[in-house]
Amino acid sequence: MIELAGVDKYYNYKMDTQVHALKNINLTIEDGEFVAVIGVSGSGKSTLLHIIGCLDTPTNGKFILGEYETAKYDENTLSEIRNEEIGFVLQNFGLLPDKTVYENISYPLLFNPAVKYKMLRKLIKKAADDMLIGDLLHKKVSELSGGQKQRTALARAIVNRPDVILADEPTAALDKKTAFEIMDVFERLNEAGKTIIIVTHDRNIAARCKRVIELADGEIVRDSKKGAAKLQQ
Amino acid sequence: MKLIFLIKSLLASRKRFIVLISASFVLTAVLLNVSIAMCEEYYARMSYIERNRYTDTMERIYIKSYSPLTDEYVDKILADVGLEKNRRNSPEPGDIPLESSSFEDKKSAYKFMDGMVYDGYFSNIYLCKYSEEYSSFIDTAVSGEIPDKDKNYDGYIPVIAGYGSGLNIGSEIKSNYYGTKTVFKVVGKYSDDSLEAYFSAQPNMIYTDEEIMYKAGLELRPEDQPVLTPSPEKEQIVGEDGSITIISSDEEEEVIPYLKGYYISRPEEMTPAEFRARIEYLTENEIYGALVRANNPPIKGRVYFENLYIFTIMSFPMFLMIFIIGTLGVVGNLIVNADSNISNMAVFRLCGAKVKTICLLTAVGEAALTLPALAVSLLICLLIGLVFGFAAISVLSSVITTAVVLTITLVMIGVRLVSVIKDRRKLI
Repeated sequence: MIELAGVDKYYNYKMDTQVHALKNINLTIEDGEFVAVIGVSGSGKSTLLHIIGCLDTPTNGKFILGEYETAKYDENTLSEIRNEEIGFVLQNFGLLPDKTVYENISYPLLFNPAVKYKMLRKLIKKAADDMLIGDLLHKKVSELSGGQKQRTALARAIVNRPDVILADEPTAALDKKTAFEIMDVFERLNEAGKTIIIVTHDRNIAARCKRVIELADGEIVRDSKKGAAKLQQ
Repeated sequence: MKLIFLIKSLLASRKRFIVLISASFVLTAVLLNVSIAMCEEYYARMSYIERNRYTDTMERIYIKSYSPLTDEYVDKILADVGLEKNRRNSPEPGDIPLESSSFEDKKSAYKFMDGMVYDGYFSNIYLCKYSEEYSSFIDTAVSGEIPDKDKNYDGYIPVIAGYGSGLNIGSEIKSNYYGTKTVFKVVGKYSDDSLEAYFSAQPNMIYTDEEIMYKAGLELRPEDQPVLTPSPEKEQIVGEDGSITIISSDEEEEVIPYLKGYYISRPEEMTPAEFRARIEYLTENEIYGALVRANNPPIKGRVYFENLYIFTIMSFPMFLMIFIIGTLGVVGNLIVNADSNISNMAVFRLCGAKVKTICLLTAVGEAALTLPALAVSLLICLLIGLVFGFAAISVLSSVITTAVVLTITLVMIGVRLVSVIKDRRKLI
């Protein structure tokens, strides 16, 4: 379960250039939910995603990820939590283009002390096969199409078997057909029990999620568990 | 194993960059090493000369006396003309009567460091018995041992062979030294003539401590030598530099006064003109009943060294400049590549890497650029030395090069770590 209680996030806190990015966010996301976070640019969606992904910390308020109340942990422990609990998928893929698919998928495993080196090949192969890129393992990422890159990012996100997958505009750089294929993958992962949180400004993509949270000016202005149809109107 | 995989993966993608940077680093480290090795000898010698108060002028004088020429006596003569503080040496070269003919009619080419080659036959070896004071001058430029006056040498007199003597360490010279069967064994050798040239123009020289000769009973200490009867009106000097033979013109009454050649260096506080005036005063006035004579021109001193090493000195700043430019290039390239490093680290962070792991990866990544390059450069210098017989590496040069490369590596790691820690929250 993901829980945010009274979360505020300021950038340049107490400075002339202070920005209040998130305002008193109270939000609970249960295990296995499929959530879309929508909003216009600057509404605070990415900031929310970064806090949920333990990449950033709230200025005020409480954030609990599963059994961890993140404020109690230092940066290194938060990295461990991120490694074990969360998989990321980004708009620009977040891959290292001059490295192979195999190498890119391997990174979360390399930083996971519970995974032995001899297990790498098997786990990477399985994740790649799940994402239908098993035959691309030795290709460099720079040689792949947009869809293949996003599948690589997805394979990397799931290779460590995290409970939560966070996606920041995962379809923004893709054509419509590929975007829908990627959404199929998210749906499949959700059916397998993963919690999926997708940040998007594309209402068609949000419509495929089971819950939609809309942010405006750092505040939650709508939280609809079955609002896909309404949102499309 | 996982760390190795990660480092390999990081480095492999920068293959071209790493090859370029490493090649540039190897070249610059080789140049630095070579320039240090080349200049090391020069600076060692210069420091030696400074330490021993050599200046650019040395004069050679002879002092003749009917009394034994003890150090105290010579000190007194020099003190009276204001030269008591300066450096003086009395190497006393003397002909050795050879027992075997193995050194006779032996053609030898004597090569000197300044390129002069003397090609000729020598039937004599000259022994230079140096005083305790002189012995302090032979601590550089000698390979092998220096004769130790406190050590017991069994059945031989240890000597240092001159650079151009044609003798090697281990060579033995059998001599009938003043009626005594004597073996002179070479235990050390001048590796060049640069310092030896201060004291002798003769290439066929061997050197030993006068105390060793006294102990072996081959020489009399000055204080044990008899006072001679003076007969200046009957004397004439035969021979020039290196010879100490004085033969009386009166064959019935042959008197051999004591005569010693001294090398006098100009005291630092004295101008060359003042120094020259003192020497002339000594040579023109037969004080203490002694004939004092100087040779001209003054022997080469510091200027000689500077000329000898001029190309070395000139090459040092050039190599240093290349090294600095090379290093700046390397560091510049690293700065240019900083963005790619930051994206790598951002991806790793996204995948759950701890900051300390990222720092470790950064440090190893930088060290992997410079440390193998350092090892290769030292190896190349060794190979240059082996193949071309050129001193491209020395202990000092390799230590300095290693220290410089390690410093650059640490600076690079430091800069990278600061950037990693500063930008650790940056996302892709």
